Amino acid sequence: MPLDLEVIAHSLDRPLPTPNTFSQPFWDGARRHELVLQKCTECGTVRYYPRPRCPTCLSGNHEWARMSGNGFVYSFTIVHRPLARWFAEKVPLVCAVIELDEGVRMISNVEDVDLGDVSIGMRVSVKFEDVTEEITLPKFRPAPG
Amino acid sequence: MEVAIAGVGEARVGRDAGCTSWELHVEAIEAALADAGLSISDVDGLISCPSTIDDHARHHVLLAEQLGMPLKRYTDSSRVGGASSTSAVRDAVCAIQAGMAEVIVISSADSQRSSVGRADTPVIKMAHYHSLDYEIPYGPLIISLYALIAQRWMHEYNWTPEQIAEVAVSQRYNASLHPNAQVRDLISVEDVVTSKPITDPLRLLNCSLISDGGAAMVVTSAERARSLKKPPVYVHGMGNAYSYYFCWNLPDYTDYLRMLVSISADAAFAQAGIDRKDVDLAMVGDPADICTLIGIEGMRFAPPGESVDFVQGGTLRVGGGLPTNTHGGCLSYAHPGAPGQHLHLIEAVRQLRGECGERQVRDAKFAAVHGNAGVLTSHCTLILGNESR
Repeated sequence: MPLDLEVIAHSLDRPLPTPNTFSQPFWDGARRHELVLQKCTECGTVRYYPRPRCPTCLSGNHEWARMSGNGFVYSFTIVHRPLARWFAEKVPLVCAVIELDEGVRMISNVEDVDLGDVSIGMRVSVKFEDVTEEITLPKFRPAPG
Repeated sequence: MEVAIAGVGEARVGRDAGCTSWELHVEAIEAALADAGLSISDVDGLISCPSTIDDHARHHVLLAEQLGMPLKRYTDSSRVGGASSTSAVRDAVCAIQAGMAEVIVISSADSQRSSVGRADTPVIKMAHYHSLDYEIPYGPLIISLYALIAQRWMHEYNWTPEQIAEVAVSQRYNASLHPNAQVRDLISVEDVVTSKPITDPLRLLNCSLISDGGAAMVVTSAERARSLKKPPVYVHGMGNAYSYYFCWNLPDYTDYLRMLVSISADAAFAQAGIDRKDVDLAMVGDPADICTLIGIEGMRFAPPGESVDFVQGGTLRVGGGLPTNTHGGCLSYAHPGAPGQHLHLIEAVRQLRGECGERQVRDAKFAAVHGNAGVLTSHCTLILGNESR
């Protein structure tokens, strides 16, 4: 079911992704607590978010490769206002652009950290939040050590 | 063939229009036609910039029907977010030059503020333009995506909140000179840096307003425009650059992003055949104040990383070195979504006609208008002037 934005705005339901034919292996990986992204088998480019063609060489051939789960904060913002009612008790939250060591970027949350300690360049590692039977969200926390 | 903007109009711009976006579209178009001294029967082309509240697969056709315009030669919708209106000017110019229409109206309208009043978070309406799978589950406001860019620029160039605040302070000064601006009270740097935190590093006064309103303009051949009621404003140059859909796919947030603005601006300046120093005023799309700064650098009015220095001392104010967003922009005049940057175009036209009273830029001959959209991923620059070339 596609998300109904009116419903998101008003309900306490959490906005969650809708896996599709390209993205299902990504979400399946997340359910196994593995960060699995498409890797082009022609040129080796890793891509996120899941898409039918390689952004570097345009090939459609790819494998689903497990990432290290390690990266750094390329940029971040501390969100003080709730996007939807569900977030009302979650803010302030850290929304960040994470650059994985494999070279791709993703939007995610950085958790298990004092808000004042988040900084650009901070090393982070993936963690997983099991939300429903179908959906697990990859998130990040400060890298150990 | 030279093409010109012959009429501009606004409809109920501000806090609460009290009507649907369809009425705003119609009223804005009627106002623009009246400004030009034309009627709907003179129009053979329509480009609509669809509303987020009442979108439709064939928005332009539905709007034409509501306008009482059953037969037209050219219609389309411009779907480039905040840059829809600037892109639509390009489309209208090309269509007129190709002989596909003679008089094209472009309209933008949205009732984002009032229509979403029942939702606890107005920005939710815009969320469907972003990724419901890879962004929204993590809770960013739309303006948070701009905050991610602001944070990176501040990190790379060591910019302080106090330096950046000058943009909002200057644009508010300009808005104070406009009788219809949504907010007109002067603000200080201190006000900006202590305003309510929204999404760090952006505070309330670093962000655009949320408004209702409609905006429209009439585009026709220069020859036809010269026979109409108002002095023509000529489209001298146009340039575009479209990149990724999601800003986090940009290779980097500084050099690459600025380059996108430059690609669009360089093309527009080259076509117009003028230099940066010839520009009397600039209009820059400003969903957040950082966008004004990036636009100024991308258009090469200031060297990389130095726009915050450039704007100090009132450069952007009416009377300053490069009066920018002279109506107040989306930060202070109004921001009904996509129509926000249409209002920038209208202000440029009014400045070039010398209609701006207290906020008039003296002897204004050339305006550089930069439209951006999709968290600074789509760019369109126009060079407008009041003399035929």
